[in-house]
Amino acid sequence: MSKYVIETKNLTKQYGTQKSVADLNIHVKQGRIYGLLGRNGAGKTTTMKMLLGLTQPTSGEVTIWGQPLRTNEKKLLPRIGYLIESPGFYPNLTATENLRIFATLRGVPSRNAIKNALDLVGLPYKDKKLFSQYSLGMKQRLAIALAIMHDPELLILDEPINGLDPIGIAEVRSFIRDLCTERGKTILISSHILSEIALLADDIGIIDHGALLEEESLAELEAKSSRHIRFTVSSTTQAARILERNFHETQFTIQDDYKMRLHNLGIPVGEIVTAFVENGLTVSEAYVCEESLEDYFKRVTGGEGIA
Amino acid sequence: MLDLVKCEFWKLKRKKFVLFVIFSALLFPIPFTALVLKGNVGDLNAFDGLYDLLICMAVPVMLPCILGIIGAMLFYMERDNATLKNLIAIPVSAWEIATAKIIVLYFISFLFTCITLFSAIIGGIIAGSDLGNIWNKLITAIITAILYATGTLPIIIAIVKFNRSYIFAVILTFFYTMFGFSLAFTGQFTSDNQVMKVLTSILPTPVIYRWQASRMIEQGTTAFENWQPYFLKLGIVVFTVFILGGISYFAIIKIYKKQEGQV
Repeated sequence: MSKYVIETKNLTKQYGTQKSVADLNIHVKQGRIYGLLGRNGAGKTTTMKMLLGLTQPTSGEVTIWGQPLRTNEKKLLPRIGYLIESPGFYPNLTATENLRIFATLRGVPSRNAIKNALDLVGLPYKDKKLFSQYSLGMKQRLAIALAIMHDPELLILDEPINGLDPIGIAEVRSFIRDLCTERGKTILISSHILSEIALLADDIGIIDHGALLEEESLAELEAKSSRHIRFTVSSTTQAARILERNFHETQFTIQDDYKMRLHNLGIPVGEIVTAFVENGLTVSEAYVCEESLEDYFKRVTGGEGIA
Repeated sequence: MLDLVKCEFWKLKRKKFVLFVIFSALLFPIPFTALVLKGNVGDLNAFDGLYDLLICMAVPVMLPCILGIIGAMLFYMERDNATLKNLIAIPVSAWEIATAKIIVLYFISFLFTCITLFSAIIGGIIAGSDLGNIWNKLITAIITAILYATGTLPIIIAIVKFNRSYIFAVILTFFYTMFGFSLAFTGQFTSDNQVMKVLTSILPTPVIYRWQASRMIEQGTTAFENWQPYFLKLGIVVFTVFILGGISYFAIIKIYKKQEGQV
């Protein structure tokens, strides 16, 4: 049994000569929210389409619950809920009628499934309003209702907060979080909005021009991007002793024998370097890192585009 | 598959054109009833004459048009509403979706010819004639429905293949219908041209008409003798129409599958 719910191996999608997704290796763990972060056109939707069998990869493999998707679609897809691109429903039907169609095709056994799904997203059951009369936010809520109606174990949500107002965004965010923490769902969510991913995701994959640039937990990324003073010295053990003895400072992280980070920026760097040198240490690097998470993502992706 | 067909019908809810289909099937007999009441069908029983007129003249004009337009509605529906992705990831395969839509066309065809029969009965009652052979007429209506639905599949290929606007589908459907109708009622009897003979032997409307005419025209009359060389047996008609329909069905599935890959 694979430890990952979703695992891709060198997943590639090529249109003509252009690679929309290139050698992508993502790993989504059980019971966690994985945020796929990237600019518009980075390849997030194409990746999600390949994970749902909507687009066939040019090369590479998608494995879900340890089984290749290509040969197990009938078995795996019914266990997945999804929202891809814009909400797709029949405009001449009401929300309930639309959901009834998909519930029938999915063979949803519970009679209350439609009502429960609509209740969860705050839409009325058996309302007479047609889908064509819905606002963008309501359409998006209905799409989320469709994704969760059959109580799937895995949710793949492509930009689920698109079109929602600020209150709606907060509601959907808390709802997605609850799905993961209270119901144990594994969720893959994509967005180009960094703050949303930072608020929701446990693990983050940064995708740009179809390639996965980073894949780490949010905690690891935050540590990478936090404000600190970075030192490269001849002995981190000795440096740690000096910091504790001379500056009564314990807020530091030793990375290896030579590299360490000091998280308290209140002490002047010059004083620390002097203390190190006076105690016989060689200091080859000492600088302040003041990168925010946003700065970090911008640096990794090479510029603007992530809000 | 039954669920898929059921869902295809649900998708047509509140579509005014479907109501128009039922309405037109009920209204079309009115002028024919007037003709019958004025004694313009010769010695035939009014009910027989009215039904024959409807099934041989109204159905070939109306039914392919209706099926073509509803076909366009059904096949464009997923494209226009971006719902194909929802269906495919359920998963429902492209051939199942396309087959369900085609089955709906058969149901609508059946509905249309049955309503036509019903309205002919009403017309017959108004004309005060004997309502004989109703079961025979019902069987003819069912066979006609199946043949015309199958005969409309070539137009569905074009609708699915070109995947354009409804206007394109309507123009294409009307052209196909009128072309078939013209060949059935004029072309095959007025021309010795070999191309015309081939066309009237393979295109659904002329072929179906060559079977219907053999049932409609009274045996022993001059008209029967004149038309006899053109008559076709039901078996040949079914074979011809189903060969064309079968090829069309596989082409539709193939094209639709290809479009599925572009979701």
